[in-house]
Amino acid sequence: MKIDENTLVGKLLDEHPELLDSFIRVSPHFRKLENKFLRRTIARRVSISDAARVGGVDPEYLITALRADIGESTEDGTERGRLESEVEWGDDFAEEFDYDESQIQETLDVRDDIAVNNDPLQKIMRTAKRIERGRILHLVNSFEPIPLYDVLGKKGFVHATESRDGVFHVLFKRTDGAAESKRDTKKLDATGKDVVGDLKVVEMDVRGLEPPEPMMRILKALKALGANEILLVHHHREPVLLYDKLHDGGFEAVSNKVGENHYKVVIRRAAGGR
Amino acid sequence: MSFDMASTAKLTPPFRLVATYFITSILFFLAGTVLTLINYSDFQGFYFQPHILAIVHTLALGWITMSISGAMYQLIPVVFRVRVYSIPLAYLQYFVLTAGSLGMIYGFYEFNISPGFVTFASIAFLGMIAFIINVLMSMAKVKEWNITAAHFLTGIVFLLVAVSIGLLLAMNLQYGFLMVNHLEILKVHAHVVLVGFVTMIIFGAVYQLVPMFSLSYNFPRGFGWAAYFLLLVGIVGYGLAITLGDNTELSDVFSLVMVAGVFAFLVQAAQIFRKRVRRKLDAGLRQTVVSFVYLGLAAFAVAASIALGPWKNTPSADIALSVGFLFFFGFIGSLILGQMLKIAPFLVWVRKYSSMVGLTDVPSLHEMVDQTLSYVQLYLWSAAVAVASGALVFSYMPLFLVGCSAMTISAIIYAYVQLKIFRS
Repeated sequence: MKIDENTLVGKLLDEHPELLDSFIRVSPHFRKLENKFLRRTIARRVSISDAARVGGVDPEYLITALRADIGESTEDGTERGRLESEVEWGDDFAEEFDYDESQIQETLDVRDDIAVNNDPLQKIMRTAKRIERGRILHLVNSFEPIPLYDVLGKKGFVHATESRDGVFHVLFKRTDGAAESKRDTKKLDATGKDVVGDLKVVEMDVRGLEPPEPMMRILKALKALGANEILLVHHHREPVLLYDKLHDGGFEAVSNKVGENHYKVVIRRAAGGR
Repeated sequence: MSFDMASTAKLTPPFRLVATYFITSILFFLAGTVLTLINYSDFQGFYFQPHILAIVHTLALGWITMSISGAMYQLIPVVFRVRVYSIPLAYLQYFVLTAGSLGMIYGFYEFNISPGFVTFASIAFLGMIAFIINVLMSMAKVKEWNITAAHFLTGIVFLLVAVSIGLLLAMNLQYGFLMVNHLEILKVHAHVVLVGFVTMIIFGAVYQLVPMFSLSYNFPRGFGWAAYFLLLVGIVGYGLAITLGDNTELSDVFSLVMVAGVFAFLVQAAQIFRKRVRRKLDAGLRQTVVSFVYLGLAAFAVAASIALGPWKNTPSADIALSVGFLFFFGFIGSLILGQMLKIAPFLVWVRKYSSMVGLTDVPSLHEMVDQTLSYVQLYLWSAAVAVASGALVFSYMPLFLVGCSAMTISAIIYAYVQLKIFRS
């Protein structure tokens, strides 16, 4: 569903009830929308730009926030089938990687698993096992799956990553070894052991919060972070002050710029440390 | 782009370094307002007087440059993700600059232009060189250049020009070797410092700080760049017009170019504020808005004094003093006061409380600042500067005294609020 300033709030929430959280996150003013009666009546006639003005927020900011959230929660099988042609792989990449669309053997979209906190790692590894030499696994994720580079790298895969609209597309091409190869446990080092196991993703959004709220919430979340969990933070800037604090606490972080004023920061416990 | 965790050192400078600069700047600020009050009667007539020169340098070297130094050492890592080139050099700068400044201020005040004065001026100059080197070497590693980077780089180059001229002037006071008119070169020195260095740096910092504190995104940047180029052309043209030919009319043209640049900046600032998510402005941001109003007033006064031909018959020194006062205390003053009210608690919070998050109750930024006093200080300062500047235009000294007194009281309140933050 296309969201613009004339989209009616009630209609939008009918089709995407989960966006209620998005509204509230942009401004606590929108808690009013929790009232079903209000949603069914007045909200039906109110456009997003009107709502933004009433709520005291910039309409563009609200629309952007809603669009971002809807982009990650849309269930549309037909759209996904076209993903490969929509994503533009750079020219150097095509050369280096020797990329050819026909090489894609399987496409795996794990965003739904991440969204419901299911660890997709086993699914990814099983799928990767089936990939034959010279063929590609196309992985679609909501953040850059950096641990996978190492893990699949050890199994003979090279990778290339492209991000578009906050979605990460990673092509894993098997250049070495054969499909269904036995796992070589001798090659796994400590880092590999940390990753291969249950890995839960805890997601949070600190955009729209005034300093030091973002840092405060992230630090709180990290204190509660389990041994096998990683934290994915949506941030409006690269949190340099946070990096310094993380290092002291034994964490490491990686940021990816997704758009203007939108960074995805992935934080996990540093390898070999607590 | 990823952050290389292999390097273990932190990106941001030690809290103690930045705090040292900020606290020292507060003390010089207080000294500057007190000196102004004590010597208020000197402010009628011409500006080339020992007490006024002493006060100007107390504020410029001790207050403004120290504030900017502390702020830049913190901002450069946060905005550009590069480390400060040398922390020991930053400490050295502090001691050298403080020593040199104190010697110069004393020299000006007592009009004791002995070789000692030139020595202290040279020491201050070396302190500045340390600062310039540190900033240039830090920025050399920046990968992503933006409008703030352009402003910082240009500003620091202008600082080099300005302090070089300053040293020359100091030597000229002692040895009198300059062929051209000392006072004309002084005008260039003042303009390059205030517009080329201070204003450029402030604009660059504003483009980071205001969106950060008011949560403003997605604003256009065209006017910001226009302001940058207008200021750049204006200040270079002004400097050349005066040094190469003592050409007042041409220098007036370039003054108007700088004024245009200022107005372009104000439009950009308005655009940033309009796009903000956080609608309510706290004391710090309000004081920032006040500073922009004063900036506009000062620019308008410059334009008016140039445009009104007949006024050229009156000694332009009167206008210069009033405009200078507005610019110094109204624009630069309010801006530093306002931004420090946001930056200082933030830095202290990160240093003292961030490790306690989740373990115990930590205060919010709001709670760390004495809200009542900061608002009192804001309104008192804004009004005091208006009264004092207005009185200066008409050389009405009793009212000027009132304004200066109010400014001093406001400065004391400000110092109290800030020091309390650093002690919390």
